Formats: sequence, structure tokens, C-alpha cells
Amino acid sequence: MGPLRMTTRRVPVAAPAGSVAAVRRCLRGGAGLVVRYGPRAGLHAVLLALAFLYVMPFLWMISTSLKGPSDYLRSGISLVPREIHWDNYIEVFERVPFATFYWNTVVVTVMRVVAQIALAAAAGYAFARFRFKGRTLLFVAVLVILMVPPPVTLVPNFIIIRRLGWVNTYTGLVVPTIWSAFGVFLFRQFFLTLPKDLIDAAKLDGCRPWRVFWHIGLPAARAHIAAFGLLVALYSWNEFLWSLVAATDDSRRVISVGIYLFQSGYRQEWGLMMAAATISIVPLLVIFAIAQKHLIRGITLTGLKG
Amino acid sequence: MITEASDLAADATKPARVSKHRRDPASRGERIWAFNFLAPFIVGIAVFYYIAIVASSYFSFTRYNLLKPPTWLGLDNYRFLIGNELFRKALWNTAKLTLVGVPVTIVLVVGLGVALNSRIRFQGVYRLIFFLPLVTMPVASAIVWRWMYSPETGLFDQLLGPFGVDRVEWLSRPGSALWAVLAMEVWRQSGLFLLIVLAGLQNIPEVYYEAATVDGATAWQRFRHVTLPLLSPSLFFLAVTGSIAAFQTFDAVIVLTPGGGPLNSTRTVVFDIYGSAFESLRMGRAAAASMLLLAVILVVTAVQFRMQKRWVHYE
Repeated sequence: MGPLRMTTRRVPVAAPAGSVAAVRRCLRGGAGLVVRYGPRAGLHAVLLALAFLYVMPFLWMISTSLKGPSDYLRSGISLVPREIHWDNYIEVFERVPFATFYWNTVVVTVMRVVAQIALAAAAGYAFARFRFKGRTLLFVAVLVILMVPPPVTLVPNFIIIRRLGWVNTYTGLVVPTIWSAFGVFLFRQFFLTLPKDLIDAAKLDGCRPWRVFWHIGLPAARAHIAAFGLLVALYSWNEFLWSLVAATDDSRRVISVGIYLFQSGYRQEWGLMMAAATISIVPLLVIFAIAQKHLIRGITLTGLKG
Repeated sequence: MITEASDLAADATKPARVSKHRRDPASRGERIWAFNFLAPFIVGIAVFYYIAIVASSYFSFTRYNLLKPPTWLGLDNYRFLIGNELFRKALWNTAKLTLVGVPVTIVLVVGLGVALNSRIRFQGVYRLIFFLPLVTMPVASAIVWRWMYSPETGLFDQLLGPFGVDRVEWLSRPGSALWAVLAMEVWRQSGLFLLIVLAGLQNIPEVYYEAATVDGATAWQRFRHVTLPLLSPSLFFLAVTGSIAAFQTFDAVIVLTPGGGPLNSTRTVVFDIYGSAFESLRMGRAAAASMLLLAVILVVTAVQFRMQKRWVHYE
């Protein structure tokens, strides 16, 4: 895209006086088009420069992951490796049990996604659809935990899972991390919008609340489930602090902890480290590319990850 | 008690008829169902949030190394932390990351958001690029940034080389280490912020801009008097959640500067909590630091909510 590409600009000044419709047409670009070169080109230049800054770490990572030491320690910037070292990727798996870390990450992520959806959807449904004493109070008690970020409960939760004998288990990694007030809030808001007639009709047909939830509530919430599930997957895949303390044995370590230990063990082997970093972020990049819309919707709905 | 009894009495008669003519919504059946749906979640947050925080405040008054039972210390842990230079440094560094990092990210992202929201070409590609850091594992990003900050062979030094700057030890100089962490955090957080800002911008009705334009407002005036006020709820949300996130800075610090940086210049509160608890096994002291962190977060959030009347416009 050259800086001289012709761009159209809304020029409201030229609008015929009077009718709002005319102004609108003009704004939409229907009439009074004026060709300009300047401002848009400048905007693109700034955006391009910023975009370059944003992708640079990724290009630099991938490029280094394919280089040998003599190549990446050479001065002079070159994104293209002199010769391609695929063996960096193989060596990562040989030096540390990366395959185990990978598997563990997949397992805890699946567990967290399923558990979070089930727990939050059920609780959200109850807050939206059942009337019972203390409902408001309980809902406030749920929302209050939004103010308590994970590091605050790190120490006591570690003591709790240690008492329960859950250190170095999937249970210990997963159970303390599946209580999402955002999820409950999200599903409650959605289930409040379900038409009451739909539920009453099902009730009249003799459906028990559990079946109404399962056959009517959940299917209707498909889009919310997808968005929320993706958010949980995003959080889970990248989670670090809790996994660092809850699993201290390689057999239960996840990728984020694995590459953290790897980089502190081999502090100068950049080719290997970049290969490890690349492998660990690829699955989410693929998911993001496929499900960008759902993910973005999820984030704008809840405003936060996790 | 009384409602229980009356419910039982109601159940004794024909339940179908009762639910028809009684408009009491909290029927017994509904309560039982609500209990079934809610119990798992409520038990979960009771244990892993409420009991956890109560336990944490108890441990914060004790000395506890996991091996021997806790011994009571009273306020000693708090006294120690408040007088301790390292902890105060950690608090101050965390405050700097929050007070500088959050506003910088917000300003950057509002600029980006306005640019991307105008009908510009390649919007989708730009968006995708700015969102990339959002889906990237923070630990992995930090490793890449450590390599970029690496003296001489790293990307930054190589880029600055031609300008006569050679060998900057970004991460080992007390003057630059924290800003190096901050730069990475801004890069990492901006994708999330951008999403919120773009959603906010899209909610501003076009008619306001049209009206302002008809009145002869310049681009800047439109931004200042239409965009900013109508975007302020989103910005408020970002200020609150962004600060809470900044108070938790940890992943970037422990990877970029494993020892807490030169002269402890990058040590943060969570770094301190992690170190006391899992490296020195001082659970009591770490619990006290966690309680202080929670207190700071609650106070800062409360202050932000107090101040919102001054600048946040709700329609």
C-alpha cells in the first residue's frame, strides 16, 4: 500500500445547506466526495510503524528459533536465518519433558473449561430463574470475589491443597481456579433475557427444572458458552503463578512453568528458548485465528480474561 | 423457621393447587432446585475465597513454615513489612507500574482505537496485529522480550547501534529495568484495552458526530466533546481493571529480572509474596503481604469509584 493511494474523505463543509438527509448522504460518502492524499497516508504511516513494533517480537522469536548460535549471536539484524535449524525444536523436547508439559496443559485446560462452564452456567441460571430467600445477598457474595485477584489467595489456597493432599495433582491445579464470578454474572445476564413463556411451556409439559436448564437454557446459551469457554481456555493455557506453586514435579508441570524453568536453566541458548516459546504460543494463536469473533465477543462481554 | 413450617403445611395439601393460587414465589421446590444449582459454586467460593481469606488473615498473625504448626506473633509480620525497605520498595515499584503503565496504555489505546475506528483500509489486519500479544502466553512473551533486551546481540541494542548507542544493559541498570518491564506490560495489555475501547467507540451513535459536524466542530473538538465523554465509562472500566491487573505484575518480572532486578528495582508486591512464601517458606509473612495487597486494591478501587463522578459520563 503506497502512501499515495487515493483515499476518500468525508467533507461535510460542502454539504448543501439545510437538509439533514443531504448531510448524511454526504457523510456516508454518497455525494460530495473529495479526493485527498495527506491525512490518511500519515495515519497509515503511524499505524504501520506501531503495527511493526507489535509484530516485531513475534518475527524475532520465530526467526531466532530457526537460527544456530553462531547466527543469532552475530551482530547485524537479519530476520532470515543463514541456515535453518529445525533441530532447535527437536532439542527442546529432548532437554526437558516438554511433551508431558504439553499434555498436562491440555488436560488442565479441558478440565477448567468444562468445569467453569458447568458451574457458572448453573449458578447463573439459578440467580436468573429461581426465586429464593437470600438471593440478592448470595449474588453480592459472588460478585465481591471479583475484587480478590488470584495472588491474594495464593498462600492460603496452597496451604489448603497441601492439607488436602492435592499438591502435584490435576485436582490441585484445577479446583482452586474454576470459580469465576464473571462467568456467573455473564450467564445470569443471559438467562434473564430468556422468555418466560418458553420456560413455563416446558414446565407445563412436566419438565423438571434440571431438564429445562439442560434442554432449553443451555442450548439457547450456545454463543455465550462458546465465548466464555474460549476465555477460560485463554486464561488456562497462559496461567503461571498458581501452576508454579501447585505442581513442583515434572509429571504435573504445565507449559508456562516448563518454559520458565527451561529459560532459567539455559540462560543464553536463545535458539532453543525461542523454539520453546514458539511451541507454547502456537495453539492459542491457531484458536484465535479460527475463533477470533467468539473470543472478542467474550472479552467485550466480560471485560476481562478469566 | 416459620416459612419452613408453612411450606411443609402447604406441601401437605395438594402441591399443584397450592402453587396455582399462592403467589409466593419462593416455593419449597424452587428453593431446593436453587440449592442444587448453586451449591457447588457457593461451596467453591466459600472454600477458595472466603475461608481462604479468613485463613490468610489468621496466618498473617503467625509464624508458619509449613513444617511446624503456626506460632502466634501478633502484629509482628505487619510491623516487619511496613518497616522493611525491600517491601516498601516493592510497593513503590508496583505503584509506579500502575500509575505510569495504566495511563500510558489508555492514552495509546484511545489513539489507536480512534484511528482504527475511522473507516480506514486494512482495519482488520491492524486489529489482528494489535490483538496478538493478548493471546500470547505472558511467560513466553517475557522470554522473547528478555532476548530483545539482551545487551549487544538483542534486538534493541542492534536497532540502536547505527545511532551510536552501543551496549545498553536494559535489564541490569537500576535506572532502566523497571521501565523495560513496563514497556513489555504496555505491549501485552494494550490488545485487551483496545478491544474494550473499540467496543465503546462502536456504541457511540453516529448522529452525535453528525450534529457536531453540522455545528462546525473541528476534528479535535469532536474528539474532545463527543468521543471522550461518551467513551468515559469504558475508560473508567479500564482504569479500574487495569490497575487491579497492574498490582499483580509478576510473570514479566520473574522472567526478565529473576532476582528482582538491579538494586531490587523491579521487585513487585506479588514477587515479594511469592519469594517469602515459596522460597523462604515464611507463609505468615507472605499472608500478611497478601492482606496488605488486598487492602491496597480495595482502597484504590474505592477511590476510583469515588472519583468517577468527576469525569465519567453515563447517558
